[in-house]
Amino acid sequence: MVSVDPQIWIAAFFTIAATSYAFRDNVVFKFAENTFIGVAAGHTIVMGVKNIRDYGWTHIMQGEMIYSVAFLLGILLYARFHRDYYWLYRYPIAFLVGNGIGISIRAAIHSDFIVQVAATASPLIKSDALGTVNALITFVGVVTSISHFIFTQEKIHEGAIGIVPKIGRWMMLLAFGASFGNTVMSRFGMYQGRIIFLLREWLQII
Amino acid sequence: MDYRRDIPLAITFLIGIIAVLDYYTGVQVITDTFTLIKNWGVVIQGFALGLGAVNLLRVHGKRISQRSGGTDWMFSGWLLLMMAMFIVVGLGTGQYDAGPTYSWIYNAIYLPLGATMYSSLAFYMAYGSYKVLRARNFDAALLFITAVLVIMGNTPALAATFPGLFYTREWIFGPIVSGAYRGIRIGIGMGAVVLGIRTLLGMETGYLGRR
Repeated sequence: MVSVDPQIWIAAFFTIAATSYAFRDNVVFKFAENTFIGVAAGHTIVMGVKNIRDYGWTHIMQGEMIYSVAFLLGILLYARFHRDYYWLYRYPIAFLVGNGIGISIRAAIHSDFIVQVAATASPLIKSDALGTVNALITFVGVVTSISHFIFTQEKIHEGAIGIVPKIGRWMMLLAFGASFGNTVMSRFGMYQGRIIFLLREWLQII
Repeated sequence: MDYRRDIPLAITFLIGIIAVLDYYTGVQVITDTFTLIKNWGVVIQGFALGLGAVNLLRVHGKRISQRSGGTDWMFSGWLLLMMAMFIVVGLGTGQYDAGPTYSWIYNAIYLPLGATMYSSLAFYMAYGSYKVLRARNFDAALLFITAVLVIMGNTPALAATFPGLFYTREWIFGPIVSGAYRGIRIGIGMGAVVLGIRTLLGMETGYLGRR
């Protein structure tokens, strides 16, 4: 018994339409593609306006007039369309860049540097042989992959010492292969979800 | 002082320093200021999204007015119609994404399209892997070996028949992946900090544009 819910039918149509590109580029896929871009843009704008209300307008309504500066900066973004006053858009952009960099520096120092170094700086000899081998491989992987990115000393990539960054490259290739395999499988897992939707909720045969 | 260039650089420096100081000092005044900055940032980002919509209108509006790209202009019209529909339903009701009509359209169109578009990339990845991962040399062979082992270890039927595949996959994600990625993350961390400091000090000015 096929579903009679129009929402399920529309969802099923777009699921099939989006997949149709696997065979070749076609009108149905173009339709789905443009629909997706349109709704994604619309949804993003709705969420953006919601954020402006929650994080800005609500404060102004409570008398915190300092939040009107954020509105002024936001409006200045649109100055980039003006021929003479385009440079005004640099003020809000500078604000966003400063904010983003400040947050990323904090995160980079803590999670990308301190935590990673601390996790590596542990005893190499473990209670079991496999644990020791794993700790050694991890340590070698960290040191050699970092050495691969040393570009200020070209000689590190030459001669006998050149084997160190080379091992780093091999370790990274192994890791990238594993990440690739994992990504492919997770995408196929998601696609299975769409197939199950078609069979269970639309066609109702499973 | 060039107010077109120096004031933006000063704004970047000031905001960035406050964000860093908030993390390292914990002084209440700085924390409160940074909370204000974060909220302002969300508001400005909201306005920036509108900028994207304006650009979308300009590009597709031009295509429609010029009837360019064969029948592509019709799709541009449809794209703008879909965008307008979401905005009208979301903002017109005043309920944003919580309204029943909005949820209905979201579940009927956005959700299936997003999930299918994202997951169908698996086909292209599989095809690309066939072309790229053919073991032409030692480097490609390394990529190929772990990719195949992880795919087999992630396949339920294979992993259930040969449990060793599952444990091999687990082991690969232990010392090999964590070792290599840890090195990469340390490198990324150092690079991000250096780039951040250079930008805060006004040595990187690409974000100000070329005009």
